[in-house]
Formats: sequence, structure tokens, C-alpha cells
Amino acid sequence: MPSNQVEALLQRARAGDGEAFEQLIEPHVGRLYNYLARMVGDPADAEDLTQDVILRAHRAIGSFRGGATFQTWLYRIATNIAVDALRRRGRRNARVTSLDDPLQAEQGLVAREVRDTQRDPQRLAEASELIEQVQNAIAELSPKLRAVVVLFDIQGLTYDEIAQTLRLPLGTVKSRLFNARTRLRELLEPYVAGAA
Amino acid sequence: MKTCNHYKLLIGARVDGTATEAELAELHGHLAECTRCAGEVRELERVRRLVTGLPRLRPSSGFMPAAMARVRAQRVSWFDRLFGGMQPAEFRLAAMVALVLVVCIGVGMVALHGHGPGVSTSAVVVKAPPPHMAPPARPAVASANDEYLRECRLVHGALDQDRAFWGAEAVQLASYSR
Ligand SMILES: [Zn+2]
Repeated sequence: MPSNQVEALLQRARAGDGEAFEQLIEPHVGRLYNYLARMVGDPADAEDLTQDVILRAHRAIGSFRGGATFQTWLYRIATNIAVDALRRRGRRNARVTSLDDPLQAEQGLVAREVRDTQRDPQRLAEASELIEQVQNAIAELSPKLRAVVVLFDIQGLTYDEIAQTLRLPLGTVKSRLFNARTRLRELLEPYVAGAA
Repeated sequence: MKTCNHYKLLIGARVDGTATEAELAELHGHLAECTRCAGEVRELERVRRLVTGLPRLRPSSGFMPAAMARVRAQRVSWFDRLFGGMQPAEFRLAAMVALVLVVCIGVGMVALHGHGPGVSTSAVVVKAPPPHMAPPARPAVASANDEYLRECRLVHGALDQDRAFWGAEAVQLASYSR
């Protein structure tokens, strides 16, 4: 959406125009859902949390003053909601087994591996186990490391966008990303050790 | 001779795909003679491929219409429209600033007018924030939070980093486990 169109919609949404708000938020909902699903590791929870983000953004749109982009603002709300949810549930987030249905996998390396192996039940099982292991490893990260790695690697945000979203210095974003990768390397050791 | 530690930042930048040509050249000189760092780069890049390769997840097909119906049903007060986006820590900061202002004005008025019959310090009424603005109550069961915070501190010990990222609320939670 061109930025002048976003600005016009923002102006209307701030004044209480619900239709403008819907047009603004709609292009972001899929990505927000994916972010929350990877953060909390549960698809049903992720729908509830995405709903919470949309409602909170709707309530707060009048206080959005630019500075950050609309996307950054939404990710900030989503991060707060995800962290609150993780806090509430404590360590229950290890339960992530049904997150990815390999038959509906759409893109990406792991998904490609799944597609290539769909005719071979043994390899299919291995690939979906790999997806599960990767999600489990992400769920093992502390929420602050998890947010950085999911925003960078999965959502494709830049260092700067993450720094704005999480209100962190740039150096902290980089070091958290490095720490997150190092921790994931330990957790996924059987899958990465001796990688070529 | 630079130590391996010196190259950590460059390794991070290379794995993130953000290293400059000059940084890559510097790093490659080291990787050519250090099998440990070379192995670390390969494994971290593999980790990154595993994470970036996860399939994109989508909400169920009925989600969007239902979500928008709830948006339409939501009534938004002027208060929410102005302050709904603020975090609890920002609320506390705003409340603190308001309180300081009210007290300063009150003291100023007393100083200007003396203790005449019409003006007294009791005229300065500081209202407590309504319940939904107040900081969250301490959870009844602190053990889950404690475990989570212990884990956070193992990775990043510095409390001010915690404060920068989570705001005062997390620092408040952190104090429970002490
Ligand atoms: Zn080295």
C-alpha cells in the first residue's frame, strides 16, 4: 500500500472510522498470526492473541502518532501480548506438537523438504519431526531471545525495525540474535553438528 | 594476533547476511586458519536455514471475518483512543509526572498566597489511578514467573537490560524471586 494511502487511512482511523482501520490492519493480519504462532507455539492460542492485537490496536489507534511505522507499532503490541501470554502460562509452552501440518506447509527450506518427501512416509516423518524440533527449540529460548530471532529470521524485520519494535539499542539486538542462534545450535545439535 | 572472540561480531554479521565486503574479507582470513570458527559459522548458518525455512502459518479461513466483526462491535472511548496504546510502565510514568505537576502547582499556590483561609494544601487532591491503570497485582503463584525470570537472568544477567526491554513491570516481578 502506498505510504500516502496509509497516511490517509490512518487519519480516518484515528478519527474513529472503523472501515479505514480494517483496510489498514488487514494486510498485516497474516504476518501477525505467524509471528504469534511462532512466539507461543500454539495455533489456537495464536488466533486468540491475534484477535487481541487487532482489538488493542483498534482501541489505541488514536495514540499512534507515526515515528515508528504502523507495522512496527503492531509488532510492538503483538510482542507485549505474546510475552504476557507466555508469562501467564509459564513453561506450558513446551507443548507445540501440532503446530505444523506438513501437508499444508507452503514455503521455505523445511517445507520444501517436506514437499519433496511426501511420497516417502519415512522421510515425511523425519521432515515433520525436524519442523517440530525447530519449533520446540524456539520455545526453549527465553522470550526476549525468542522475539528477536523470530522477528529477524521468520518475519524478516531488519535490525533497525527490531530495535524500534522492542525499544532496544541496535547492539543489543545483534547480541541477542547471536545468543539466540548459539542457544539454538546447542538445542538442535543433532541436526546441525558438522554441517557442511 | 586477534583472538577468536574478536571475530564473534563478524561471525554474527555474516550469519545474519549483513556483513560488508570488508568485514567478510577480514573474517575469511581468520576462517581459513581457524577450524573452530569455520565450524561455528557453518553450524550457525545451518541453524538460520532451519529457522527461516519453517513454513508460514495462517489463521483458519473463518478467522478474519470473525475478527473484524469483533472490531465493529468494540466501542472505543475517547480515553482509550488517546491512551490505549500506552504500556503499564508508561502509565506509571505519566501518572508520576501528573502527580509532580499537581504537587508543584499546589506548593506554588501556597507560597504565593500564604496560608490564607481560601487556600490550603488540602486543596491539592491527587486521585489514585482507576483500577485498570494500576500496576498489575502480584500473581498469586509466583513460582512460574520465578522460573521464567531465572532463565532470563541466566542468559542476560544485567537488570537494567531487563528494565530496558520489559519495563518496570518485569523488574518488579524480578524482585519477587529474590
Ligand atoms: Zn577462531
